Amino acid sequence: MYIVFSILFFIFTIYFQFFINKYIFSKINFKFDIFVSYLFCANVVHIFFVVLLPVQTETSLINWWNFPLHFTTIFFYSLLTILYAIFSTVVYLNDTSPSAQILDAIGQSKKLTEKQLLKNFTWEQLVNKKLLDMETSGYIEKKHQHYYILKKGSYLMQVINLYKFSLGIHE
Amino acid sequence: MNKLNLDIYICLSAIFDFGLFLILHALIFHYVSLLRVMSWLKKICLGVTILIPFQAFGLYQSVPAFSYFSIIIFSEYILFTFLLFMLLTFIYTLGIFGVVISSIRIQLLEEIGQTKTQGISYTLLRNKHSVLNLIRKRLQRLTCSNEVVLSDGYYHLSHKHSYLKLHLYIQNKLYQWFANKK
Repeated sequence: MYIVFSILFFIFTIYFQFFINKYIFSKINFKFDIFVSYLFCANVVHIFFVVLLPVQTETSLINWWNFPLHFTTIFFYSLLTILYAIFSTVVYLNDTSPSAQILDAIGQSKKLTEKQLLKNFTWEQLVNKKLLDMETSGYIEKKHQHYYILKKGSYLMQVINLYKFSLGIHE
Repeated sequence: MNKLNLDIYICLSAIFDFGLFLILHALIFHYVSLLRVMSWLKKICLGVTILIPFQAFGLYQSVPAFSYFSIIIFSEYILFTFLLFMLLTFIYTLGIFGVVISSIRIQLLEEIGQTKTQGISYTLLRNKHSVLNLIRKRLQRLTCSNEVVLSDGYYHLSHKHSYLKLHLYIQNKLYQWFANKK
């Protein structure tokens, strides 16, 4: 029951976000990234359901006091939110994975040779943009045309190496 | 037992199944080639999914309160455990596994990190990560997992449904809704 509620919450939140983005944020020229606007809507939806609509089910265990705190609803709703965050971050960064781009290109042209496919990609778009991103986020730094790893980057690498080691992944 | 307790059983079962998925994934992946990781991930996921009805039967046998449930509530338990387990697996695959295995950012960071204090030149990085290499590697992975088929020098999409196609579909929808693209 709680899981059904959290799915309904999530669907409603996305529709609400779509509505608010289309008719309010775009009109007042207010630029939100997708995930922030989703969080805004999720909070509004939560307040709406929790404070204004006391929910009473057949079990009588869900009422407007304990409903928002219930573990399952929060757990499932959070999982859906994380999944949504992954997708919306990609959209926000305007940065689709190359594999998805390959599928997209092949899907649009029905069939492509490797040479034709390569025309869809540039080094700037595939690598340079990512180097710039990592530089601005403080993982690496560029000095005299050389790239160096920073502390934040080496910590991340340690975690990734540990993960790869535990899975036995090697190129 | 009421439906509230059933929900907790659903959550715990899904977390247990996900844990099992991670253990199998860690054990099996020591013997799997990097090109076949996606197809193996699907096989492990399917294997654990098949276990869910047996797990439900096990609970029915061992937890007395479960025997009071009707067949509909029992099916609800199986369905939502499956849904929750798939959601956890999907998030893990997209957010952790996929990023570590195929992210260009991580590969670049690894490359730069290996040189430690010496650093790596822009030119060397550019030669090592050419567009041709990056695309070839991905095409190889896509053909190995049967998402793309190569025939007579042409790549075309296979007819089967996949995670990546679903990913692309949702992404395109989000683009349409929020970025007014495509």
